[in-house]
Amino acid sequence: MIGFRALIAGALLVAIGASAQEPAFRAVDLFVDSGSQPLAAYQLSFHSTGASVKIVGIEGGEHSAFSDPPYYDPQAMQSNHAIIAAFSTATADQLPRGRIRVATVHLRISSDRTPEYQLNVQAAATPQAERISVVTEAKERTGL
Amino acid sequence: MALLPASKRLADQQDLRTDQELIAAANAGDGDSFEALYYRYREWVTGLAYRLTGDHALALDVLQETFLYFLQKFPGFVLTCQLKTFLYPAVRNLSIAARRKAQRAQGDAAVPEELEGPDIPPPGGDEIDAVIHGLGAEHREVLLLRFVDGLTVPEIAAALEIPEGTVKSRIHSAIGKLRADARTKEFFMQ
Amino acid sequence: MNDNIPAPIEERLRKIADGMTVLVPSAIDEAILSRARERFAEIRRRRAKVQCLWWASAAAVLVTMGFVASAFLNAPSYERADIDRNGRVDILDAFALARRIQQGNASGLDFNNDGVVDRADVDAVAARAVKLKKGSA
Repeated sequence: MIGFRALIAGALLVAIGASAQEPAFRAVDLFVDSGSQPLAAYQLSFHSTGASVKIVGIEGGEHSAFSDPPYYDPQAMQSNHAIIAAFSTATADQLPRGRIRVATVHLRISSDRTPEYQLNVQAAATPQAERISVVTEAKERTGL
Repeated sequence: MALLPASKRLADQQDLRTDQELIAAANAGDGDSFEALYYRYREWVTGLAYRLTGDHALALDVLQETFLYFLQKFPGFVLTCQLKTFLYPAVRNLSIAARRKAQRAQGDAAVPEELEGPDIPPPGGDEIDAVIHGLGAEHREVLLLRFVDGLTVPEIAAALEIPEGTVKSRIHSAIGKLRADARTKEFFMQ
Repeated sequence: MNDNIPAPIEERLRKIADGMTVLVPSAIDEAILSRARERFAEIRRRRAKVQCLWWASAAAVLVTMGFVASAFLNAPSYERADIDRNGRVDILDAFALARRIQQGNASGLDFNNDGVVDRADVDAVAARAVKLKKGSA
C-alpha cells in the first residue's frame, strides 16, 4: 500500500517538476520529398517559434547520400534558427527519390509551451544541378 | 562737281577684326559686327553702284538693296572669297535692275541688257582721264576692279560672272590701249 | 606683254573711283541698320531657344545616362562564390564546385586561398551558403 502511494507521489512530483520548466529535449526530423526526381542537393531553413527553444544538435539523414552531418552555421547552436544543407556527387541511381529524412535537429525546450516549427526550401537539385521543387516537413519525433 | 566723301563711324575705323571674324560674330547674332561690315564696305558699294548706274539716287537704292540682301544671309553665311567678290554680282545685278526700272519709269523703251556705265566727270582737260574714259565701260571696270579694288583675276571673273580668260583679255586689251595711246604711253616707258 | 600699269595711271584710276563716291545720308544708314538690328535680335532669340532646347536635350541625355549608369552600377556583381551566377551563394554553388573538381575543371576557384582547389574550397563555399545573417540567430 505504501509503495503504491509512493509511486503516485513520485509521479506527481515528476509532473510538478515538469511543469516547473525543466528543460526538455526534442528531436525534429526534416523530410524532403523530391517525387520521382533523384535528390542530389538541398538547402533548408529551419525555424522554431512559440517556445524557448535552442538548437543543440544537427545530425544527418537516413539515406547514405545524406547520412553525414549536413552543413550548418555554428552560430545556429543555441539559437532557434538554422540553415541546413547538403549535397552528394553520387550518380542518379545512387540517390534517393520520394520522401526521405535528410536531417534531424535536436532541440532543448525550456518552456511548457508547445513549439512550432517552420521549414522552408532554399534550394534543391538533381545530379545535373537542375533545380527542382520539393515538399518539406518538420516533424517532431515521438518516442526514442 | 566733286562729291563729298561718305562719313565713317569712328567705331568702324577702330574695328580691327577681319571680315571673317566679323562674319563669324554676326553669325552668332552680333549685330555690331554686321554694322562694322556695313560701314567698311558702304563706300565701295555705293561707288560701284554709281559706276554701274550713273545715278546717285539709284546708287543709294542699290546700297540698301545690297545690304538687305547681305543681311538675309545671316545666320550661316560662309565667306569663301573676298567680300567684294561676293558683293559685286549683287551690286551689279541690283544696279541693272534699278537702272532698268528707272528707264521704264522714264518711258525709255531701249532697256540696256548691260550697263554702259556713267560718264566719267570731265577731268578738267586731263588727258589721262580722257584716255581712261575712252576705254569703254567693260575695260574700265576690270581695270578698276583689278587695280583699285584689288581683286585677283579669278575674283573678278567670279564677280563679273565671266570666264577668267575674258577677264585677262579685257585687262590686256585695256593696258594695250593705254600703252599705245600717245597721251599715256610715256608712263609705260618710265 | 606686262599687265601691270604705271603708278600715275593707277593713281588716276583711284581718283576716278573716289570721284564716284556717293554721300550716304544718315537716314539711309539708319534704315539699313535698324533692319539689321531687328534681324540679329531675331537670330539671338532663335539661338537662345536652340540653346535652351540643347540644354534640355543634354539634360535629358544626362538623366538617361544616369539611369543607364545606375542600372549598370546596380547590376548584380556576382560574388566569387556564386559559381552558378544566380545572384546568391547557396549549396548548389558548393555542389557545382564539387562536380567541377571531380571533372578536373576547377582552376581559379581556390576560395580558401590555400593554393589548391579541393574539398576544403567546397566546404568554404558551403559554409558561406549556410551562414546565418547577423540578428537572424
